[in-house]
Amino acid sequence: MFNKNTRKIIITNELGLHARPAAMLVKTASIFECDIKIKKQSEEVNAKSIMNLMILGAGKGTELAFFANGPDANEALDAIEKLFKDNFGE
Amino acid sequence: MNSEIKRIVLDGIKVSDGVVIGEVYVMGSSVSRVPEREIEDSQIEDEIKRFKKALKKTKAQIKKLQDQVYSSLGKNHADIFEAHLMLVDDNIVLEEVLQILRSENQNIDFIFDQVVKRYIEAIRMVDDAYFKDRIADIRDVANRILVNMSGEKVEDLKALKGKKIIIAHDISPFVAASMDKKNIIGFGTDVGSKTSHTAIIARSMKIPAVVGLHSAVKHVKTGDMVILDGVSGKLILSPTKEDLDEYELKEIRQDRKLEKLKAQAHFPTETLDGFRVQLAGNIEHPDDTENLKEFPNTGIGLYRTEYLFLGGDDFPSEEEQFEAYKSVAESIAPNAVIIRTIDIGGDKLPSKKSDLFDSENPFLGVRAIRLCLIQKELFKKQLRAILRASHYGKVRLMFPMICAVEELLEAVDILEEAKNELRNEKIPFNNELDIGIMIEVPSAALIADQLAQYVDFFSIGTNDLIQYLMAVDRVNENIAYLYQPTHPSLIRLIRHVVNVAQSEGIWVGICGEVAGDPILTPLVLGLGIHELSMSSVAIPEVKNVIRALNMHDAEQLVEDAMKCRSGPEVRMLCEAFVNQLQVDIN
Repeated sequence: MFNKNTRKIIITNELGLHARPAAMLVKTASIFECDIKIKKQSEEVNAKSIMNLMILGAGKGTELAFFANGPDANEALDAIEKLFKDNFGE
Repeated sequence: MNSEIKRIVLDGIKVSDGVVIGEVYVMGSSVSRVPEREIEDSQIEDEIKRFKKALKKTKAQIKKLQDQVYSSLGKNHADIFEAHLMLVDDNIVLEEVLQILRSENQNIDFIFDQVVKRYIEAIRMVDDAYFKDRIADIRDVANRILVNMSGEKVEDLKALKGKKIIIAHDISPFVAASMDKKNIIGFGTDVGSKTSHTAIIARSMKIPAVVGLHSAVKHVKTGDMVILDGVSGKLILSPTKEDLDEYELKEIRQDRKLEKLKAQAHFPTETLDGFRVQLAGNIEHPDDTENLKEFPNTGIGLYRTEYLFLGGDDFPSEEEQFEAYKSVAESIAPNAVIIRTIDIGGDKLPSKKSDLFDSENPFLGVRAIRLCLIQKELFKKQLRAILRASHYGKVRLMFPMICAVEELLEAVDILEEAKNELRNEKIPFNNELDIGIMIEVPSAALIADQLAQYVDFFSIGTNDLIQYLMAVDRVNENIAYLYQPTHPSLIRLIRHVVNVAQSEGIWVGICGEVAGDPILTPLVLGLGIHELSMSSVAIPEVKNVIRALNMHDAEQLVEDAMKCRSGPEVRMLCEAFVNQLQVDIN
C-alpha cells in the first residue's frame, strides 16, 4: 500500500528542536522507510538529517508541517507526533 | 624609514588568571582551501570509498576524544561530542554529496566543502543564537573530515616545541582537550565567553587566558613576542621596553606569591589577638575544587551550581548533578561545602529559552528561588541530587534570593518532599543537613530575625545586596559610582543582620566581592563576620591581613565607619587602616 500523509504540529517543549530533541527526531524519522519532509513556512527540509533540522531553527512555539511519503507514512507520523506530545521527555 | 612596529593593546574578557610574556603560536581554524578537480566516471567509486573512509576515521577520532574528555572533565563536557557524531552520521548530507558527485564529476572533498558551506550559510540566517553557535561545531567536524581525506596532518599541539601562547580565532573542544600545560603557557581567542569550554579548560589548567579579543588573529603572527594579561583581560602586541619591565616584575611577583603562599598555607587564619576566622572558596565547577587544595582547613562557602545549567543544551539530570555535587563533597572533605541552589535569571540565562525570563527588569524578575518555586520539579530534582551528595561529605544547602518568609517555607516544604521521596526509595542522605539562605535582598536583611527561625546560617551576598539596596544596575557604566561596597547603608544593614543572627544563635558568612577584597577585610571582621568565602586567588592576601590585625582595632574601625557619610569616605578609612598594618599586600 502506498501512503501519503500530512500533519501539522506545534512545538511545545521548552528546548524546541535543539540538541537532544533534534537528535531524537532524526533517530525516530530514520527508523522508517518513507520519505519525511518538514515544512516551516516556505522552508522545507528532510527530517532524517540533523543538518537539515538546524536550518529550520525551530524553537518553542514554531508551527511545523510534516509530509510523509511511503509505505509506512502513517506509522512514521504517529511516532513523530508522539515525540512532540511527550515534549521529548523533558 | 624606521620600521618601528606599533604597540597594540587588545581588550578582551579575562577567563583565567595570571600574566605571561611569551612567543605566539597562531593556530589556524580551518584547513587550506579545498582544490577543485575534475574526475573521470571511473574514479567515482574510489572517491566514494575515500570519503567514507574519512568519515569512519573522523568518527573514531571523535569517540576517542569523547572518552578523554569524559575522564578528565566529566560527562557534561563529553556530551557535546554526541552532536559531533550525529553530524558525521548525517546520511542525507552524504546522499546529497554523492548525487552531486555523479552529476558534476568533481572531486568529492570539494563537493563536500561546498555542501557544508551552503548549510552554514543557511544556518547563519536562522534567528536563534543556539543554532548559530552550532556553526562552529559543524565547521570543526567538516574540517576534520577534510583533513582526514587530504592526508594533511592535524595540528597537534602536543608536538609544539618550547613554551607558547596560543592565539586563535576560537579553540574548538577538540583542540582544547588536547592541550598540554607543558608547552602551552596561555591562550587568547577572538571569540568566546567566560563560560565557554576553552575558558573552563584554561581555568582547570591554571594558565592565563583571555577570550573575546576580536582581532588578535589579524594582528599577530607565529613567533611574535606578546604579553597576555589574564588579570585585566588584555593582550599587548609589540610590547615596549616599559611593558616588558612592568610585566617581568609582575611575573616575578606572581611566582614569589605562589611560593610564599605555599610556605604560609599551613599558618592558622587568626588575628593577632587570637580570633579564628574561617576562610572558604567560591567555586563554579567541580574542577575549581583543585584550586582550594593548597589551603588546609578551607572549605567551599559558595558553590554556584547554575553553571552546570548554563553551558549545555539541556538542563542536567538528577544523576549528572548528583555526580558533580558528590565529587565536590568528596574532594573538599573533611571541610564543608555550601551548595547553593541555582541562581538562574538576571544576567545568567540558560541557552534554552523560556518566556519566564522575558522581563523589562530581569534582575527584578523570575530569578533564582523564584524560578525554582515556579518550576518545582526542576527544583526538587536539584534538591534530591544535593541531598544524595550529602551522604558523601559535609554538605550544607543554601537558597538564593529569599526575600520573604513564605518563600523560605515553600522551599523547605519542597526539601521535605525530596527527603521523603529518598527515604521511601531507601537512598541515604544526611537528615541533619544544615540549611541556610543568602541575604542579598534588603527585605531579607530587615526580617532576618524571622528568617533566622528556620535556618542554620546566613550568607551575605554583597554583590546583589548592593545592587538592590542602592537601586543600581551592576552593569550600567553611567551609574557605576553608585555601586559602593563601602556605603554606610550597607554597613548598617550588615551590622543589623549580624546582631540579629548572634541573638538568634546562628552564624553569618559573607560571599561576594567584599569578602575577597583585602582592604575591606578588617571592616568585615569588625562587623562580627567570621566566615569569608571568596575566589581562591584572593585567599592568601585576605589571610595576610587577618594575621596582621587586632580584632579590637577592627571593631573600632567599624565604629568610625558608621559615622561616615559616604562610601569613598569609608573606603579611605579602611585603606588607612590596612596601610598601617605590617602586611605585604603584594
